[in-house]
Amino acid sequence: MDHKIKNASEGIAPMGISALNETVLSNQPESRYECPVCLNWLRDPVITTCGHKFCKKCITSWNSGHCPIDNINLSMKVDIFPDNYTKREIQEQRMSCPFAAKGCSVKVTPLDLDSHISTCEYNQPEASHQSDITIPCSFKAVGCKETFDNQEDLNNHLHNDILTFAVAKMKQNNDMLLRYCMGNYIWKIDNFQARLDAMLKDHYKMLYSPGFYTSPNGYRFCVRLNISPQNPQCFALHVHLMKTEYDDCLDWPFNGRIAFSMINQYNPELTQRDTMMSNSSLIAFRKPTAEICLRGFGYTEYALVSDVIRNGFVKDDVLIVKVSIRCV
Amino acid sequence: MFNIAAKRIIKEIKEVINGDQVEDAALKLELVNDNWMDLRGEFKGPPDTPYEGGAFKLEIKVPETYPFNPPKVRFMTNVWHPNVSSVTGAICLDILKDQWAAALTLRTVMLSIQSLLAAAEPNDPQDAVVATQYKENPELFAKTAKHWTNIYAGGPNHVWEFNRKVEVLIDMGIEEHKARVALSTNDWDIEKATEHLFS
Repeated sequence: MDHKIKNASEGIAPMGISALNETVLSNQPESRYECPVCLNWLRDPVITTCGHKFCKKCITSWNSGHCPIDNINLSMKVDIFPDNYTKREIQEQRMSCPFAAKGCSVKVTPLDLDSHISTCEYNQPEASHQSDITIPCSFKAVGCKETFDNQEDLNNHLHNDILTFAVAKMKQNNDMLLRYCMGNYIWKIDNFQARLDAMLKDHYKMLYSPGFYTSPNGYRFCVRLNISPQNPQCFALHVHLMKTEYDDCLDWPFNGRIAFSMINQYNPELTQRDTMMSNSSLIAFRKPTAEICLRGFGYTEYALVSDVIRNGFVKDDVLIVKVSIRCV
Repeated sequence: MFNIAAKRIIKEIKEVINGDQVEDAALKLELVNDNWMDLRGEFKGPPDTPYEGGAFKLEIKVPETYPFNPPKVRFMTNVWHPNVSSVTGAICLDILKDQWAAALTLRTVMLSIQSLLAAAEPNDPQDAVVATQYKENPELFAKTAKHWTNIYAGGPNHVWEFNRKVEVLIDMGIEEHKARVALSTNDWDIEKATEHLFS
């Protein structure tokens, strides 16, 4: 490895990429003054017989016998000429120091800007001017940790962000419900007709419920409803085990009782109830290896689609399936 | 002060973030740590191909001699494609080897890899098994590629038939990815795949 190159890369390590960011990006050439190799201002520009410009040093380092842009054969000796016209144009440009806002009035040619920036007396780390008095968000009590320097910023925050916060909080509450439901999950499927139409059109479409827990650190299941692949007149209804962070602490395979109730929202007596026992020989009850276990357990022909639609199970375009899972 | 490579990488990241292609090709490029030599790229599978809808991650290692030498790029997402190794993710693409040019950037490299997914070169394969399938059974190839996109790149199109076949092998106690590779390389013939696994 070439020693010069190696040193250069070690040199940047302590400064890190973020420091480099500011200096590099503040000095962006127009494309006609940009070297396509280093993406910087052309330094000692040369032009090739195929009509491309490079820094002299860049094209010399490339040295492959081909143009870096169009791969046309290039001989270093006869196909490359100094481009003094472009060189003069670049030298006539003057750029303000990026620290002009802090008071630096120096104007230099683009080629000298980098070396000026590194020695510029205004190039100092920001003094921290954090105000001593900060106003906490009015919703601090429910968990918002934002603080503000003035009332106006707080007002802006209350207008713009607090709704997002409330939605996040609600989602968190939903997650809590799923975790603390003790295996009793009520799955409300809204927009049911539209979802059903989509499933009838494409039998591979399936509806999955969110994952819910049999106890706060227990087994996690979700429910799947789809058109039965064997009999398109019927719905299939299955539960699937899902991965949790504490799966290693649980006993496998899962053993328990699984009950489905499809609620009849007009006549509770017609609610369809079914109970099944787990079968420990099935993959469906082994410790899941995927986020959702590929194998489910349930009924491939759970209910006739026409029955569900006509006989009072769907109300206000919502179908409700209650699932209750108990370990034994 | 800094070497060319570091400066270029910063500009190139900016180019990807600000580029027009962000919407169409959905390119992403970011540093792994605060270190310009180690990057992650991501792009969307090209439309009207089996890779559509998938998000493909790339590992990009930039040599200290960049841009005079090409970056080392490989897929981190498993891909079923004649010019990508299904095992290591190595990519067979001329511009990453002898056709590299200093004026190419990480953005153009990622766009080239994206177009490689849309237009395979089965006569210059990286993965001979995939290339043979591509040439001899293009329909099965497309379905397998779609299945891998669904499983590994989050693509939306399930291939249930293949999911079921993988399950059959999982039931025999074979690890899922191994099962999928065995089936994919044996044209989804369960018998041949098991023979291959147990021989």
